[in-house]
Amino acid sequence: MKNMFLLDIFIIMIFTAGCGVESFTSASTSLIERRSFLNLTSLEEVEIDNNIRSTTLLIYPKAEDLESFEFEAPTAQAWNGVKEILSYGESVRTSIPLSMPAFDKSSQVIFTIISAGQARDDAYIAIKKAEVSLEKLLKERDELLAGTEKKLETIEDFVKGSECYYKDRPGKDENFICKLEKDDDFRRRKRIRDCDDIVEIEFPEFTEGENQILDSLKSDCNVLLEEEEKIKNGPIRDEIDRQQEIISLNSQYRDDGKQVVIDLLEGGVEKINSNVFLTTGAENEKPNDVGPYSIIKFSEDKKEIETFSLRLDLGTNYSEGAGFKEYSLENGKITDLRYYKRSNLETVLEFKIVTKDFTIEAELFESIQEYHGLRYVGDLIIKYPNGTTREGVGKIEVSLKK
Amino acid sequence: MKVLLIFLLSINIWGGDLRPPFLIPTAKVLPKGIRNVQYMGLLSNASSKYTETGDNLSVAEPLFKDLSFDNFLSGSIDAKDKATIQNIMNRTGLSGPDSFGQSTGDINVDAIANVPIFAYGFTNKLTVAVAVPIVRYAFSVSYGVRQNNLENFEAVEAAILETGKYGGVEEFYEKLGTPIQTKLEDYGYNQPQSEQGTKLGDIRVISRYQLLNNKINRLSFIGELTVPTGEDQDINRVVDVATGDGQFDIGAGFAYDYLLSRDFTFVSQAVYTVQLADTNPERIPLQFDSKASPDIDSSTSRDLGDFLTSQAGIVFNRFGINIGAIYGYQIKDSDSYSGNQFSAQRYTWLEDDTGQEMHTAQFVLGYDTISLFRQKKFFMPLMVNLTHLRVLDGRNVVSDPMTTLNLSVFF
Repeated sequence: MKNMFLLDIFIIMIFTAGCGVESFTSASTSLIERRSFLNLTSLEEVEIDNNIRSTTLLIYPKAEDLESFEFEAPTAQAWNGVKEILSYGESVRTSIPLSMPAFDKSSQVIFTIISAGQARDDAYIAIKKAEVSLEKLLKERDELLAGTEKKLETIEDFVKGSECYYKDRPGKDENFICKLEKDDDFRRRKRIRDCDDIVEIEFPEFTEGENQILDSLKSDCNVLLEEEEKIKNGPIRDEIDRQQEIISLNSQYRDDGKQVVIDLLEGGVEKINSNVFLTTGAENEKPNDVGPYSIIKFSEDKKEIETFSLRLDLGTNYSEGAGFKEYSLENGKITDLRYYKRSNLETVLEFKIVTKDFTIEAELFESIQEYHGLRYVGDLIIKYPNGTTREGVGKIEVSLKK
Repeated sequence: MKVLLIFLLSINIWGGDLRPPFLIPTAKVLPKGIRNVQYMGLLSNASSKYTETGDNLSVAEPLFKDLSFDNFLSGSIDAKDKATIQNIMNRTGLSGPDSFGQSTGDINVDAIANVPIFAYGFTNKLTVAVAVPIVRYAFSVSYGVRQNNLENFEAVEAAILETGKYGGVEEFYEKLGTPIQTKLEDYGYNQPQSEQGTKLGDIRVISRYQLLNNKINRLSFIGELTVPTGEDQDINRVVDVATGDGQFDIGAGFAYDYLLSRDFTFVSQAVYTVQLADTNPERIPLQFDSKASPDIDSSTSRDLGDFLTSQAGIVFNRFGINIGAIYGYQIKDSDSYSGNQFSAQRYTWLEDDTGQEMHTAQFVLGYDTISLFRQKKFFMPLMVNLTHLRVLDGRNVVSDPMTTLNLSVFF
């Protein structure tokens, strides 16, 4: 019996040892062949304006910030403007219902902020393109006008000091019937100074030959006057007006984009969570009538940043208080500034903004673009003393010198 | 820019709870004092399975996913990433169904289950057996991608460049080159690797009480208890060989034999098993068509579906030669999940494709020396059976055939 049992165990051990198992796999892979290559402009190749054109720091709300959030766009005009300029404007929601899941609310808020930023960027490019076109048109117009006016001046010089005498003022669309010599009937004097005068006079006493000369002069004047009119009020003028309208319209779109973000963050999210905010630095002009711009100044070789100072208004929710304040390396409110090349594609600007209420850590990526100029765009992390963190986006824009 | 994505993974090898039947059903019991030691060796490969709709697909099928904006958006776990993807999609004029290709994958699982079964006849009517499965396995996983629609890549690249974050372009191509690995990392899964190992399965205690035994009929009551000694699926692994489900099962049923003639016996068995409810850590899906998720509820309430297993067939035995053909049918209820950490709907997505059905055909060929031993012409009573099982049809079960070697000794 015992032997049987031991034999059983032995047999089981043999089968339990058994053969090994093996397994092989191979998943198919094929990658596309990239055709494009990146040809980037480097900072060394351009001259920049040390004054920062605009600074924007936005903190995104997290899902848990938005559990009790609902929103209806208060300023229809601004939201419609953003929707108009964007090719995908219909995707921008103007309302966020309470019932929407918090995660979706968060992604919708962020999407709207990104879209508003996109609208502002698109509008800025449109403005810059229009300004370039406008400059060219004005130059063309001025050149054409100068040419025409020179010819008109020649005629003016020719008839300078001339005068004739007429009997009665002509009616509408009638010419002055003139004589070169004054007499009892033709007593009123008309000076002949320029083409406008020439084209509206007739001399019945002129011989055929003299009239031919006069007609020829009138014809030249008409052509030149028509040319001048065309330049001042014709297609070029229309095009100038169009470009100016584009500038005006897109300036409005930029304001609309800003208003949308203000509506959403300041007017909406901040009402239920004051830790979510937006702050902007000066745009195109000083933040107030006194005080400097935000500044970024590079070393000669542009490998280091010598001066970095931001003028920011963090709003009323923090101990910094409302109104533009300076945050700089000098006053210690900007720290840990690093500017370096991370790879062939990435030049990085990192810094921290330190206040009593929070610390913002910025990791921004440098790009030089035809219309936007020098830009630093990237992610923010805001850390609060209680350990909470949030994410956001930062943008610093600097114009290029021509 | 953090791009992507994707989608779903998570494969439970061997189709879940229904286990293919390997033993010949019988209402026989051991005589009092007699012991029986059986060894069962099961050779299995899991490469294909029957789906919810009965289609036969590769187990790697969930890895084949369209790399589309729809999938990227629905799989996003970060609100900022989701908003960024949506913005890029809109900027490029592309839409949800537009895709960059397809992820691919291959999974192969080979296993040998060695199951010693120890049985003892306590009385002439009552036999109790204990089965201790030991599983030796090897699985390998590989992931790939088939990229296409170059114009979509270039459109997105241009949109990223407009943002000024030039590094985002390389990140975009990198992540679309390894979409599955990227998503696993985002979701906190361990990166899958090929693996070999040995695991203990759930120990089963089976009792058989003979109610009737006359010359022609045998009827026995069957009681079963499954003890969770096996390993449940590791929720941090996308591909895992689970040898148990971490909870107790209780089964009850009957076996019935009818002696058609001296050599032919009709055999049958039906057992209903209740899987007891418990709590278990689970990954709660983000979307209806993928079990992969970053969200874990460590106290998910779980009630695995109860199941019925039944078999019926004919066995021939003469001169120690055993030949059998047995049809099997099993059906399992869907599992039920609930919890408090996430929305109720997300827990219901865990229940998808957990209802199972299996139609099997079992062919047995064997030889025993019992009659020779009785005639003292052989030194020991032993039995060797080779069983080949084919899954004829099913729902949410592995469809690969299996082969079993069964060696039994009585003493």
